[in-house]
Amino acid sequence: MIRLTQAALLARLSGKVIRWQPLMGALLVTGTVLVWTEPLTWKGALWPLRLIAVLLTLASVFVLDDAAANVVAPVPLPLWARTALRLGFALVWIVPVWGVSLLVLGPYLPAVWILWSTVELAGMLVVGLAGTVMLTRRGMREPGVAAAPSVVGGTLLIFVLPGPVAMLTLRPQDWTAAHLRWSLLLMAGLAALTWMSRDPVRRSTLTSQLAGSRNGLRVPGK
Amino acid sequence: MIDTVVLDDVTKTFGRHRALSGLTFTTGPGVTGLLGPNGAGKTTLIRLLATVLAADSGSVHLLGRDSVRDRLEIRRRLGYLPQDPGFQRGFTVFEFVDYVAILKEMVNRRARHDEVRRVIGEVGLTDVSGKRIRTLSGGMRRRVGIAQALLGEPELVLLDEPTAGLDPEQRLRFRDLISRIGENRTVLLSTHQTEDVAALCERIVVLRNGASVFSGTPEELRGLAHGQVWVSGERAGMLSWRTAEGMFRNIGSSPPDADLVSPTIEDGYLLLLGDVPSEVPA
Amino acid sequence: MTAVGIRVVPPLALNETARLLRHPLTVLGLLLWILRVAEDGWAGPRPGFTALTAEMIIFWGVPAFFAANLVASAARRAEETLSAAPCDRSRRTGALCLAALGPFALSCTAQALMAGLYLITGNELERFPSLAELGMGPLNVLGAGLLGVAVARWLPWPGASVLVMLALIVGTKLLFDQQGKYLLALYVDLAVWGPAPHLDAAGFLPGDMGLHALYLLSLCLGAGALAMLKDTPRRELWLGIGAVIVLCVMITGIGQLT
Repeated sequence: MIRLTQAALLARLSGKVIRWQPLMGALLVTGTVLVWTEPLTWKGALWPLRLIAVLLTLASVFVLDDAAANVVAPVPLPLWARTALRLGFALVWIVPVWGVSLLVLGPYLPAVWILWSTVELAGMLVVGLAGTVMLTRRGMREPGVAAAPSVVGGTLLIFVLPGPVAMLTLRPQDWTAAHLRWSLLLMAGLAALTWMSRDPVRRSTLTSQLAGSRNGLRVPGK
Repeated sequence: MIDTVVLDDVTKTFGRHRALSGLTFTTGPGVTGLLGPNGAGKTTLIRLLATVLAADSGSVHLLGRDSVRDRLEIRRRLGYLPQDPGFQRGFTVFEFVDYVAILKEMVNRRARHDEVRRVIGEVGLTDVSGKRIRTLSGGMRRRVGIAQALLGEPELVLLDEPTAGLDPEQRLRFRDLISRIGENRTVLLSTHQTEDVAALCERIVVLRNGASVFSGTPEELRGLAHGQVWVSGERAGMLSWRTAEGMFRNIGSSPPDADLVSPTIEDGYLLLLGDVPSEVPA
Repeated sequence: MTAVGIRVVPPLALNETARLLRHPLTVLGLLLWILRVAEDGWAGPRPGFTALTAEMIIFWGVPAFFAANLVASAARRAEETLSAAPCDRSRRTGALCLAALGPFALSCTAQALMAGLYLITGNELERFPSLAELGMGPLNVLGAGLLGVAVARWLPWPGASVLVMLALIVGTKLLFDQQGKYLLALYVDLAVWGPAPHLDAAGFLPGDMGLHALYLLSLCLGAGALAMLKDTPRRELWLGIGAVIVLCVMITGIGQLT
């Protein structure tokens, strides 16, 4: 019950705690893309959709910027809950924007691409956020600054992946295999995000136990 | 005395750097000062006690509980000021402390606001509680950090360099505040300010290379330099400086006819860390 | 700027060059470009030509922009400390601009090696690219580095670099799509794609590539002048240089189209 009340109180403060300007920027650019795009083919609709997915990922990595991270590190509200609150705030923006994008561009696409492009967005988003959480664990208070260029670099990397491992493919015969890879990336990203969002003490204890069993060190609590 | 902080053979390594190396010490209610040169492991120790870090080996018990297994219970009874606190600068002082209070599970609005006003008053920021943090001076921001650490009357208060950037008046006010808190609670104070330690602390732990090289009272630390501090008309000893009276205050092995003076905690600390040869085994 | 002040710039520039070359995004750019050329370079005359002349612009240029921006803005938190140093911000900006020559030199070398590999392997192209065409990629890498520094100086806010890159992409797309004005874009693929699967030779878009290279060089210098203008004590000088560069951009820009 306390957690729910806390979440509600924190949600009211989210405008000051979370960097929302990039999300607003992404919203504006997405709007422009949607108004501007006049797809003649399904490919002409897919690329703007992919651009919107990248934009939303770019904007969402800034929600983890926390100038007061050091101060609030030992509060009773666990790290995963604080991270989840921030990601929840990002999703409140992302889900409707993506929904509207699908409504606008979806009619031009083969039906399966509604799912595929959503898997692509989820994969990019989760991997981008996992990378950002990793940067916060390394002590960065503004991980978005480094994470956003990394998202661009990562997107280019995905773009250049050659035939057998291509992910941003348009060839119908590769769709299923490519999106299986996207799904795997999504799963890996989710696992990494969950792992990185755990309390650092809990993580390092597990790491220590692993290292301890190798080095014969005594482990806390044993 | 109940031991509220118990560390036994604690080791913490970052990559190849061993920040804490078999650290063992015990302390209880009252103010304990942590002294040590840069890189001695003070901040790592404070972060470990704040349950932000876990030890690689050894055990840490705080307020009678295991610091890893029972960290949530410990965090509910903990106040922490990090060495380099950051703030969302768009917040006013009140809003920021209120934000931390919510994170500390104070969900009742009226009680929380009363508590926020109390701690802001304790650090003398009532007049600026409506001002945005970005408009405050460095010292005032430090006081905001101290205020949030005092929320909820924590039983264990960890303060990393709390007086850095405070003006003399605020430092005295801070001493008053900490000594009052330390009357019935455990306060650990990591600092380079030996005057603060001398004025406030009942116990001192000196760290060097991640291990405790001294644990005792300020008087015992001062006693380490007994007979090794003297004044003379010329520079002598291994470390000396000219005083306002034009004499030289020397630390080290004193000559037989030396004009010995009463040592300070700083003298004991310097001798202990081996910056000057000590006749007292560390 | 005193002689002593100027003497500080070369060692500082070398230091910044090393940081820039070691930056993960610079390494990623090189890797992306190699991957891309490895896949497309020998796939046919059209992709072979595109890979050698145009791929570097996006796959190395974009990471180079962010790398330079991050390196230039890394000192943001230490600005107060650094501002008290005898080497002022304008000299540090100058050193960063010079450091952009590091990735440029690396991209020139890489481009030369790849061109050599094309020749050794006898890669069949419709025609071998001219020096100006080969220079488009490295010039874009140079411009990306200088623009990254300029953005760090003029727009030092989180996310600003992403917005600038987005604007560049949109601007390039708009220009590239316009008949007869594609050479004004930063990304130019001269090989006509022809019918799917776009592998065969299908001719080239018209345009004076020598002037296009000069146009790109002028834009690079413009980005450098823009970076320098922010903190220089000699504002008039850099405004004058900027005006000359704008003139060069206009002359070469219009000239290349005719």
